[in-house]
Amino acid sequence: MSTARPLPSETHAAAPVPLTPIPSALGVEVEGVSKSYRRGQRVLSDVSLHIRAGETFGIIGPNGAGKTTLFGCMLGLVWPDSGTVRVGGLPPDDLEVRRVTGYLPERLTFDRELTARQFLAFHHDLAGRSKQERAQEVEALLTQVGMDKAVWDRDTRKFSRGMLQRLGLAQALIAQPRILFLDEPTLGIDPEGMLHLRALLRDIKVRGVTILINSHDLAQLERVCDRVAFFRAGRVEAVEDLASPSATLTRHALMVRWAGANPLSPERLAAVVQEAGATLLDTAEDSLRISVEDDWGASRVLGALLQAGLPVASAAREEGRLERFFQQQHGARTP
Amino acid sequence: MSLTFYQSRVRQSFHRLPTLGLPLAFFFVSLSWQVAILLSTKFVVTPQLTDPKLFSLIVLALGLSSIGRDASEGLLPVLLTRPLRRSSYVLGHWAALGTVASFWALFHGLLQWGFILSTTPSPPRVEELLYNLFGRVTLCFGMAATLVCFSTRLPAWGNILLWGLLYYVADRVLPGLGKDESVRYAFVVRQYLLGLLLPELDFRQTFAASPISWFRLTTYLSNVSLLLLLGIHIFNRREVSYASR
Repeated sequence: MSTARPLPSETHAAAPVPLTPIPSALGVEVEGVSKSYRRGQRVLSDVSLHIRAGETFGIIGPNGAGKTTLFGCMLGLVWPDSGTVRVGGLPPDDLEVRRVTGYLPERLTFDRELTARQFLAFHHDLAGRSKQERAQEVEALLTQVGMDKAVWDRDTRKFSRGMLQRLGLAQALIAQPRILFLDEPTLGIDPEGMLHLRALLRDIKVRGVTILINSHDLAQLERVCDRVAFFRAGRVEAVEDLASPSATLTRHALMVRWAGANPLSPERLAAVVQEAGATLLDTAEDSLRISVEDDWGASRVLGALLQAGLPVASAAREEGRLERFFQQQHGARTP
Repeated sequence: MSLTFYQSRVRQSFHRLPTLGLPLAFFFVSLSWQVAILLSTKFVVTPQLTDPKLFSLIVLALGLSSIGRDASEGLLPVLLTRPLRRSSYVLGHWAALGTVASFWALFHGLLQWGFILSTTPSPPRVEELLYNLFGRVTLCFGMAATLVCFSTRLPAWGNILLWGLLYYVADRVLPGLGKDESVRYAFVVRQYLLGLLLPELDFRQTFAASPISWFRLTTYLSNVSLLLLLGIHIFNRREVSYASR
């Protein structure tokens, strides 16, 4: 059990440890976890989270909310003062859990004397992967994270922030993890890298990997996460299920304005929108708000409105559901 | 102990300026000094094998790259999320530091021996060379245990500073303390402290004695074991987080 004190597992290290059976997909159970640092600063207060196996779970909150400390507890690097953390039913610092864990820290640093390829090879060996497959797996991962072949054998000290982040991601994936912890994965990544990362995460998710993301990038979180927990002052304020439909908070909201008078009746407008697979949220004198599934849905509904004779002057995507969710949570506490 | 981790730390020592440059500097200054003495005395004063204790300087230089350094550079969180026991991590650091320091000490010893052979008609016996070399190796692994133990909790360079402070106390402060009975206590404390700061096994006094001095042997081994166990214990209780750094 991962509780207040360091695990006694080290003390019986000499005895042959039987391999603990581990389920194929890993969920994380955080139960009543509290944590204070030495100066008396309370970082986590009675945090309980149940992250299902195979889901992508986001953690958002302002700086100093305790997100990184929670990651530390879930990774077995920090011990809670009270409460328990279990990964796949095992303590997080069980070696069997570590064998299938990948972690990208917010500020990853590298052994300075190693090239990108050597760095990954080192972590490949540390993760206990087969030496025969090392070269092949390292190259495959470097390609997968979108690193240019020309820099594979270059000193990592000369890497840009984005390149380091990609290498860090490759490091997190080197053990072919079944649970992946990503702390600010989009930090320093260019737009192309962002798209690449999103596609990569989708691919990893399809393989049944449980992904936990701590990020300030709400738009990215919204696109990849199944559920999101909002953190404030060491507490979970709310958990939002992004997969569930909601009348007030929609995945993509589109604000459409028209020029001059509206030639369509409200009933006709609602019917056109509905036929295009979208939902009319509200209408005003010169505009309407529509909920759409994705960018293709937006394109379809705009085409339908133009075809129905609405003189569309502009169409803009409103802030995402998560952003509004965040603002609601944040606003509720802001005077 | 993880062989992969041990190898990486050995390799690291030969790639970083402080842990490569300082031992090399010691190496050349020491040999050059002996050549200078030989030339200035017109081969009257014959060079001697360096006292193993002097190699504490090499171990201190190499000790700059230890657990505290890994922590300060932010390498710990990722390393400790790998399937690597914390005890293996500490032992890997100890073995790497001891190995690299021993490499420099043995290399220096062999070069020095060659130098002595080529300049002296009656060089010391081979047993003397072996006693000296083994003494160097035991000092390297002994001091490695001390420095690794200190670095399990202290930041980079902290282990060297603490070692220096304790050595100053043992070498300068304690001998001047007390009168009559209290001198004895100060002496005992000093001996214990030096045994932990400079754990070395004098091979001549241990194995050339009859019977073998088991006391010396067990004292050395227990000092090294104690330091390593203490280091592992402290490191097992250490929390590692970017948030708490």
